[in-house]
This record gives sequence, C-alpha cells and structure tokens, in this order.
Amino acid sequence: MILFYTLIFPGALFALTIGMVGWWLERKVSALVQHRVGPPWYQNFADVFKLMGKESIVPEKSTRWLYVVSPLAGVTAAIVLAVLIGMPVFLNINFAGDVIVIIYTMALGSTAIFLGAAASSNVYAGIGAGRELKMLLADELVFVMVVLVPVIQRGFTLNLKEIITGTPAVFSISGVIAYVVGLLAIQAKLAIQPFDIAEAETELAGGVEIEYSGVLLALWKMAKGVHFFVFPMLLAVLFFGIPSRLSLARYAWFLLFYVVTLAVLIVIKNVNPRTTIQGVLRFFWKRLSILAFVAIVLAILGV
Amino acid sequence: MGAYNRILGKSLWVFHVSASPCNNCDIEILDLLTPRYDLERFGIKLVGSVRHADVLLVTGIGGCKISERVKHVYEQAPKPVFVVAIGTCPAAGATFKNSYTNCGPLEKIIPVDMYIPGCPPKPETMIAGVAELLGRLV
Repeated sequence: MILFYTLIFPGALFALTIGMVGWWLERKVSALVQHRVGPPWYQNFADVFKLMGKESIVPEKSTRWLYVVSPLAGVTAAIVLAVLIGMPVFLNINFAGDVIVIIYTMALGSTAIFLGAAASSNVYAGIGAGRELKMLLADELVFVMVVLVPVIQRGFTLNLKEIITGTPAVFSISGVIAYVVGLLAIQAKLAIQPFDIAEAETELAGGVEIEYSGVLLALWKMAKGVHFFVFPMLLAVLFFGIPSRLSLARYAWFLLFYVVTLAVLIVIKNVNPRTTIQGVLRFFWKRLSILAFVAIVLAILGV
Repeated sequence: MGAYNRILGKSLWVFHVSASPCNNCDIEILDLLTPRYDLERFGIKLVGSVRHADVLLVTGIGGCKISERVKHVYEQAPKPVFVVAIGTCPAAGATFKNSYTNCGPLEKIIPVDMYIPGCPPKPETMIAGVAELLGRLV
C-alpha cells in the first residue's frame, strides 16, 4: 500500500501529472498575456519524454557521482514532499512526521540543485549554485514564519492534518498577511520570475542546469514539475483549509484554491522582471520577514 | 524510432550558433520568438545551453577562427541533434565568398541537415523550413 501511495496516487504519477499541467498553465497564461498562442497542453510531457531519449553527457571534469545523484535526489525529495502533503489532504491519512519534516524536505530539494550545479564544474553553473543557496537563505526564514501562523492559530499543533481542517486560516487578519507573504516565498521556492535568478536563461544560459542533458535534465524538469504541484498546494491547504470529510466537495475545494494560488503566482510572474540577488535578500529580510513577524504576533494575539 | 521522433518533433529546442555572421540572420531568428510568429505554439524553444539543444541554428560563413569552435559546439551537443543552416552564407558564402577569413561552406565543418537560404531568410521561410524538418522527422 505504501508503494501505491508513493508511486501512484498522491505520489509520483499523480503529482507529476498535475504539476506538469500546472506548469503548462503557467506557460500558456504567460503566452496569452504576451498576445501569443502558447504551447499545447501536453508540451511539458513531450519535453520530458524527448529528454529521456537523448544522450546524457557527464562532463569530464565534474564530480561524476554527485553530478548523477543530485537530480535523483532532487526528484525524490519532490515526490516525498508530494506524498507527505498529499496523504493528509487527499486520503485523510496521518503520517508520523509533521510540518517540520515538510520544511526540511523542501530545503533538501534546493540543496540537491545546489550540489548538482556545483558538481558540474561549469563557471555559470557555479554562479547559479551560489545564487540558489542565497535564495534558500532568503526565502527559508520567511517561509517558516508563514507556516507558523496557521500552526499558532490551531493552538500550536504541528500536525498537518489538524492544521488544514477546521476554519481556514485566511479568515483572520494575520492569515491574510501571512498568505500574501507566503505567495512571494512560494514564488521564490518555485524559482519563477521575478525570482528565477539561479536559472536566468538570458543571463546565465540556464545557470544551475547548464551542463545537464538527456535523462538527467529530464529528472530536473520532473522535479520542477512536481514543485509546481507541491508548493501551491501546500500554501492553498495551509491557508484555505479543506472540508474535514472525504468527499467530492473536498477535492473540488482543493482544486479551486490550488488554481487560485497558481493564478496569483502567474500574474506576479508576468508583471515583474527578474530582480538582482541583493534585491531578493533585501526584499525578503527587510520587508517580508517584518510583515511575517507582524502576522505571527497578530496570530498569537488571536486576531 | 517513429514514435520517439514524432514526440521529438513536438518539442524541438533550438540553440543559436553564430559562425561569423553579419548579425542579420540572428536578428531574424529572434523575430521567430516574438508574439507575431510565436514558435512556442509548436513547442520550439530557444535555449541558452548547447547541452539542452535538439537543433543547432547556424548562421554565418564559418570563419577560419570560429570553425574550430563550431565543431566543438557540435560535438558538445547531446545526440540526436539536427543542424539547420540559416541564410545564404553557410551554404555558399554570399557576399563574403572570396574573403580570406572564409573557411566555409558549413558542410566542410559539421554535417548539415537542412539549408534555409535567403539574405536574410524571412521568418515565414524559416518557419516553413522548420516545418519541413518536423515533417521529415515523423
């Protein structure tokens, strides 16, 4: 049964499908904003399938084992995240860990990207790796503070299933502030504009992924696809909650707020150009962390 | 390979190789990605790294100094990779045919799958050429 959860339903297959479609939505809406037609819905599946059949080059000067293991670790961390969040959300199954496990698994994904880029011994990838780590430093603090708000509102429980059922956190002032801050933190976690500084297509030519090709690049793309499912879902369920009984309404409710969260992210992506690395640090540490702190204080006061 | 090629044709990622061009073809290639022509609807994407490329768009005569690098770039690309020569220069040298820096045509440096002639070719011509490449794949 655990194999089914990991590989099929809230895990690999399901998360990948929804995530790829979510990613397509991002590309399609961006295209529509720019008065283009945009790619067909199966575009990301075609991309990954195509990459699976191409030659995978491992650079001569790279640290070979780390170079190969990192994408595997990245995609595994993403799928584990999908299972950990998906089981309470879709199946009402509690797992032994709690929100802290989820936060650490999230950091694992970024660490895998950093290690993979650093192992490829490419100068651009090195710059990308440094930026990835700075991004992790910038958004991690804010994201943890954002997650704390619904935790405090539920009476200091760290159990995900207890947090997401009951009155949605967004019905309070602190919840609204935390949700807005969380949207920006998720934007940085997904590494889409304005926070795509680690990849930076036009500037670093792909940055962290520059040396990857074939199957290994396909694994990175799959990890990114799963991230498109996991991160908006986590924010949606933390702040909009879900009905406590398993029913069709529960899935519809989840889907509605998943799409709402994703839509806001896409709009932010399309109206902002890429920022500088100093800009990101300043924005997260000096602005958003203060806002998140205010939200925590308000949550403790019960507002 | 039939089914694989059909999917490969739905997501061609192109990489832009400049082999001493006059920049005219390069500007026309960038036009392909603008909202007016929008190649992303066919799944065609301009990528920044040759490791991600399925198609190399080569412009220019292939100067003596750059031809070594072009060969190097071709060797770095993960196979299968297709080479599309954009403009008259890679095919015949055009105005620069008798130049002392001309080490072309491109055929002498790397194998070429398709020529799209023109000085520069119109974006419509390039789309027609890419469509024919897709047709050959299927």
